[in-house]
This record gives sequence, C-alpha cells and structure tokens, in this order.
Amino acid sequence: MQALCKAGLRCLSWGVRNVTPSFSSRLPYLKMVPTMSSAATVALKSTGGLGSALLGSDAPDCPIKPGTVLGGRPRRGLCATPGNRSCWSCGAALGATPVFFCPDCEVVQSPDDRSTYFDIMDCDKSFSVDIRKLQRRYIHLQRSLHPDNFSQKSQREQEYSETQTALINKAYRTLQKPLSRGLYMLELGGVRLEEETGSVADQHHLLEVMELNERLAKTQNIEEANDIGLSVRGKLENLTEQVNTSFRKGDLQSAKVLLAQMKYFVNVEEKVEQ
Amino acid sequence: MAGLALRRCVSPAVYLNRRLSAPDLSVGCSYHKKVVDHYENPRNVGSLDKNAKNVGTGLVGAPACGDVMKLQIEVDDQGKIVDARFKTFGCGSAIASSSLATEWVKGKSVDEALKIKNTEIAKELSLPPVKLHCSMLAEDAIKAALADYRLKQQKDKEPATASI
Repeated sequence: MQALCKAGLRCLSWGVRNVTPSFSSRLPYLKMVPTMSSAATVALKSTGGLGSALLGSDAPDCPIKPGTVLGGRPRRGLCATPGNRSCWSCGAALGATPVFFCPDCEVVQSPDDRSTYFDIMDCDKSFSVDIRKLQRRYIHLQRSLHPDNFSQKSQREQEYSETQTALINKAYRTLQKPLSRGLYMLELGGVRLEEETGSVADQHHLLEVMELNERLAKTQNIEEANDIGLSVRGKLENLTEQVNTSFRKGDLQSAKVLLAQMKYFVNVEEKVEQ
Repeated sequence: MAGLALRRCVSPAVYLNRRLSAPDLSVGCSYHKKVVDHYENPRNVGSLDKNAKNVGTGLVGAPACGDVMKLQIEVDDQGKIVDARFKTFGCGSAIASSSLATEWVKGKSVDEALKIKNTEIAKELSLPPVKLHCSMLAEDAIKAALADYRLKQQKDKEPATASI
C-alpha cells in the first residue's frame, strides 16, 4: 500500500514537472506573455514608490536550503503592512517577502501575492537583468522547492510546492526574455499595450514588418530565411538597447512604443525558427 | 486578466494545425467552421498596384499580438469598389476577418464600405471575445484603405482645380 502511495505521489510530482515545460514549448507565445496576478499589482501599488527601494539585489548567491528565508533581509521595513504573514503550520511570523519556508519549522509556505517576479527572482526591478544570476536563482529555487522533494510530506506542503514552482517557472520565463520582461514592467507601471490598431504602429515600421513577412513567406531557401532571421535579431538587439534606455529614464510611453515594435519582430523571428 | 492575455496571444495556428492533422481529437477548442473555411481557402489574397491612383492601401497592425494586415481596394470611375486584396500575417481569426472584409467591400461604394463594422465581421465569423480585436483590425484596415484612396483622389483633384 505504501509503495502504491509512493508511486502515486511520484507520478503526481512528475506530472507537475512535465506539464509546465511541455505546455509552454507547445505554445511558443506563452513565454512572451506578461502575466501577473492582480493581487500582485495591488501589492505593488500599495508599496507605491517604495517598491524599487524594497527590491534589493545584493543577497549573497548561496545555495538555498529548506529552512532559509529566501531573499531574507527585512527589506519590507518600509511597507505599510510588514510581515503580516505567519506560518500556516506553526504560526511563526514569516517576515520579509518572498518567503518560501518557515524560518522556525522549515515547512514550505504558499506564495505571497505581494511578491513581484522581481522579488521572487531576487533581481533589481530594472530592465537590464543579469541573466546568469537569474538562471542561478531559478535553479536554486527549483532545487529546493521542486515537488519531488515533498512526496513524503503532507498534502498541503505538496500543494504549496507545486504552486510555488509553477510561479517560479512563470517568473523566470517572464524575466528571461527582453520582450516579456519589458511588458511585465509596463504592467507593473500600469501601462498596457493597446489591443486595437495602435497609434503606436507607425506606417514605416509596419511596412518593414510586412516586407519581412512577405520575403519569408516567399522564400523556399533556408539561407535566405536565416538571413532574415539574422537581420531581425539585429533589430531586436537594437530595440532591446533602446527599451533599456527608456526604462532607465523612467519613460514608460516610449518603452511601450519600442516594445510594440519588438513584438512584431519577435513574431517574424519565431516564424524563421519554424 | 493574465488568462485572457494568454489566450489572446497563443497562436491559433497551433490549434488549426492540430485540428487539421488530427480532426477527431480536437473537439474542445476549435474555431467556428467559417473561420476555418476562410483560413483554409482565403479569398482575394494578394496585392494590387499600390501606386495606382484608383487603388487605396491600408496597412494596420495590432501591437498586442504583433499581427500585420494589408488590405487594398480598387475603385472604378463611379466610386464602386471593383476589386479588393489582402495579405495578413497573423492568427486564423485575423486572416479570416480580412478575407471576409475583402469579400464584403467588393461591389460596395466607398461610402457603403465605410459603414462595415467590426461587430458585423465578428458576428459573421462567431469570433469569441478574445478574438474581437482581429475583427477590429479588419475594420481599421478597410478604413485605412478608403482613407488612402480618398487622399489620392484629393491630391489628384487639387492640381486640376488649381489650374482652372
């Protein structure tokens, strides 16, 4: 019976592990999509201008063990409702967000709606993210929170490890790519890309995208397709630089225009890859 | 909201491909048959001479999903739209919307064509709410093409009136 249960739980945890990556690889657009719970937006708004002050990046890069409070400096000292969460298991105060494990009883916690993806991944809230650091953080988090580690634990801990890892995956994917990272930052700033034919879309740019698409549709030749891919990637790099400058200046509107242009080119790039 | 954004940007071509390759398996999320019909057999694909005076070109894009749509109309001396072409790089709904738009504008006068609303396109194709922006794109493409045509006509007339 025990063996059966164990097998069942393993299946469950494998299921979780398998679902997320294959799901997103089947739907390539997924990784570009800015996603964020409305609760997180509210949280950011409630911390207001202090948001960026609360997001440090100077945490030492150490392996994470269960029981450590990740990103665990009392950075929330300025927040209106500091550390009002307590451990669901032992009731100990959890302190600074994001907290993945209870500092007292080492039990895994549910995700904190107030954490932004930047909080979770322990990055500065800036467009120029250190990708290698992001990757290390991702691996560390997944290593300590992966559902496989909790197959012997209580049902609730298993659930929390699943939701935590799913959220970490989302945070990582969003921050990894410049476009999704930029769109997420716009969303944090309360700016959204228009749904309709935006005023953003200037004719010259659209014409360029149209021509690239037409060339790509016509060509049967892999080399030409690669050429197009190369030029698109060049444009994307250039745009990424410009977006970075805009964000550094705090100019969300120009970042929005540039990110919209990026979106078109990313679509072309994806077609080239196909 | 996130779910909405997700669904909006997931390439419907993914679904279409899956549907086409394994029709028995995809009963759940599929397009309306009219969308699939326009997607599989798009009407009036191609280009007209954009420099011709009686041709209006509309080029529009949707920043949120990165779709681009080009719609062109050819107008005769009586102000009737005699031909229309489109090229769309985007999702199935965007392709279907623009394909339908070209069908609808043909035979109409410029003023009549201006009255085509995205809601009519969406209704005809039974587009779900998350795909309404595709029909908006088609409406805007028609408007842009008509505006381009009118601009050309005005430019054509101005020197003529000036010389009189």
